[in-house]
Amino acid sequence: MNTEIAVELLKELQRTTEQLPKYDQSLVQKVIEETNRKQEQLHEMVKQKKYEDTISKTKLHILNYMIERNEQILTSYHLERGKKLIEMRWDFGSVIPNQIRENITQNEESFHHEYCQILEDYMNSLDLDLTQDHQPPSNDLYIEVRVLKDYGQIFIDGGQSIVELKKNSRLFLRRVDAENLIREGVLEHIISN
Amino acid sequence: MVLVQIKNLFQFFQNLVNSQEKQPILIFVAPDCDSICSCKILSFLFQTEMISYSIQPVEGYDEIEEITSKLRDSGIINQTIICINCGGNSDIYKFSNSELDWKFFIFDSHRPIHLENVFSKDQVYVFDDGSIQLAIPTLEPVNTELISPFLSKELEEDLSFENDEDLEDSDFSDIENNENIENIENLSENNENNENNENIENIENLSENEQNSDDFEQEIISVKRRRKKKPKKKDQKTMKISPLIENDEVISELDKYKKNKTNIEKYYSTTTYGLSTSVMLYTLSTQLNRKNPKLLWFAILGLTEHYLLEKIGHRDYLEIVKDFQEEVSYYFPVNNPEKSQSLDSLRFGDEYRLMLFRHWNIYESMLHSSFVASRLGVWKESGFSNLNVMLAKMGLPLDECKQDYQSMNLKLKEQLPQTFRKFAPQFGLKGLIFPSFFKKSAYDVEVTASDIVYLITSLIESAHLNIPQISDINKNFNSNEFSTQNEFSTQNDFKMENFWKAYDSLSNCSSDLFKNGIQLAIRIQKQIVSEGINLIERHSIVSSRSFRHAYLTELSGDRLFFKSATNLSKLGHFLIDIFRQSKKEVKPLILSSLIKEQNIYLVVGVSGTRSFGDISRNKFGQAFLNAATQIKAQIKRDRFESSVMEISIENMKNFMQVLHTLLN
Repeated sequence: MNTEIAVELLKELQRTTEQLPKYDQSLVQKVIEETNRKQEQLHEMVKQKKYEDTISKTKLHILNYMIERNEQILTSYHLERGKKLIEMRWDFGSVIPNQIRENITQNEESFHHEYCQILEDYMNSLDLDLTQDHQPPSNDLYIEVRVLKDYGQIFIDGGQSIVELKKNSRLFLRRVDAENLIREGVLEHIISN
Repeated sequence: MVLVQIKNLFQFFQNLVNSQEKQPILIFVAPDCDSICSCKILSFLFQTEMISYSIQPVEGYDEIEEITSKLRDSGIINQTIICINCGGNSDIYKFSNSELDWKFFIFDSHRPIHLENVFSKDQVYVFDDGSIQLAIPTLEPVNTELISPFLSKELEEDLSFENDEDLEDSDFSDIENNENIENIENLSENNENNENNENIENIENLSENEQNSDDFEQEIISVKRRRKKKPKKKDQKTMKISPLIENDEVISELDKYKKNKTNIEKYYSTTTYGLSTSVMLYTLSTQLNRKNPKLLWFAILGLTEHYLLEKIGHRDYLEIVKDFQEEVSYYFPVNNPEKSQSLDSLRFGDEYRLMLFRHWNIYESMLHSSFVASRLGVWKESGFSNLNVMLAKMGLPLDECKQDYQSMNLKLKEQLPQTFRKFAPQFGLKGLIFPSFFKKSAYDVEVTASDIVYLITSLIESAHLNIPQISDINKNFNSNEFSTQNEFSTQNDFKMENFWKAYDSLSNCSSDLFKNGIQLAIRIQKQIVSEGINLIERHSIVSSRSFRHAYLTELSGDRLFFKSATNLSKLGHFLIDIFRQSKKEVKPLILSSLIKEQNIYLVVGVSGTRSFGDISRNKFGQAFLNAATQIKAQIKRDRFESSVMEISIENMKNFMQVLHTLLN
């Protein structure tokens, strides 16, 4: 009865199997109404100066507490959903899949849109797509490889340099240059300590 | 060329790092322990700076030519090439041409360094430990135009070999000496010009990068000779000495010319070794503040290899050991037992010339170590019993000595240093003990520098064996398990694979590879000793006035190890040691092993001095060349050791005859 309705909201979020459950307008409404009622009760008591005895004081405290708690829960609810929306930008990109679209409100949609905009502007200013690599670059920017067969010459460093791949030689070069050839079986990554 | 002294090494490195060039650096590595260690150090330094490189092991100049010709054809303009223990004794610039902007950096311990590398090109940098600068002959400027009509017929013949068709098969290095004589003129002429026009330390021609570093410019002794176009035909020369040289000036110029020629010939007449390259590169790492115990260990290995293969003498070895001792105590202070157990630690200590005894047993090690075997004369009855007597006197029971060193009585092991120190001189084994370094890994047995040097060298010198890395637990560790190549097929060379196994073993040596490698080294050593004894007992060693000579024929089974020049050289040193001990005259020794499949003899010349531990200069490099040109024989002499060559079977007899006359 007291803040249970609000807690229901949170439980909904927790229980969901989907990315984002439908925005529970009714429940939120109920919580708001409940909070408002409590607020009115509080105001009444204060107006009537009914706070001299201990019981009344306690009641005031509890009312206050409940109001704050409801607010807190509502805020959490909306914030959680907001975070999920942000996450979605990084996971899916700026287009929200339709299933999820159905579950979010107009406000949330515009929140998402604005976030995307901000991110876009920031990335443009850096001239860098931050959403491409979710992991920091690994330690082996350069790796050591052994050449398994005579392959002739290849271009590396974006075409700036030429290397001759001769069997039984070893190279130390950028991972990105070597990866394709490792996959083809021409080169082999040497792991040493 | 630029002769860079050790103290300026770091500038070379900084220039490399700062250069905008993206082209991966090409590193040519000779196949020996010192080169591998150097390569390890260099690659570490490059990796820390994220500089790409490519490592190519090469055995001779023909392989270098093969690789560089492909690069030349593809028109790569900018290329940095580093040569480790190769390239020094040949005109390295011939692998490039004037249209390309290639730079060569030579770290080579072979001496003498080819004068072309020293005098002509800005593109060639040779790193000097000091010995190169000292050895360069003093050449006086000569007015060649004045004397050219009077040059002797002899010189004309020298020069005409350039065009000789018979030398087609032989490599550039065969004609190098003749080219040198021709170049005396060019050098003298340039010398003259330089004196008139330029400041010798002319920095304008240096590359842009170097111009940015002022200190470097002042320190470099850059002998700038502007290379004159070498005229192809010497059409100025006449065949006769004019008897009418009246002009004093001409006479003096002629004298100078002859003097220059003699000096140059003298410069090339003998070969020796300078500072080990891995030691030089360790110095580089120190200058860059990137030194660490791992690199120190590599440098120690390189130094030890030079010492054990008799490339440097006792005195030089000791000097460097002293420095390294300080380094070791800096990294691993004796009073600090808290040092983490999981790290490899080094320590300084006494080592004995008992090859690999800690991984073998004392008895067999004594029987088969070149040092002990030659001095005790273990193939003779008396020598054999001498060995037993010695062990008895030392208080080492025979059965203890014959079992694995690891399982030997602990107390005996602890007393070994004292025992050896006391008794070794009594049995003629003075010099058994020498200072060296030990490495202890956390979970492994302690190894010495010599152990690893033997391991690495054996791996490289076994091109005919495929050395397994994983052992089959059921198989006995009988070394016959190594699969051998078909005697008639030379295609299946495990040379390269073994090279890389040796290379990798320096970083993480699996215990199997270690065991197999030790087995291999023991096998090779046994073969060397037994072959040496064989040759002596059968009196197969022919002695003439100035050198001794022996043939090794019918190589099969383990004697196939003598297809490798290094093993032949080890055998040679062993034999010289025997002669030394038997008070016979110590003469240089030539060993020729017959390699039927290729229809050649592999000829190796070794020399030694009266006293063990001193290094003599080897004169076979030049002698082989002279003899071969005289009989116009086909020889292949493009390895990095000039005292090693291959000659066709037909020409061998003639060749030896001429060599006899030349040297006697």
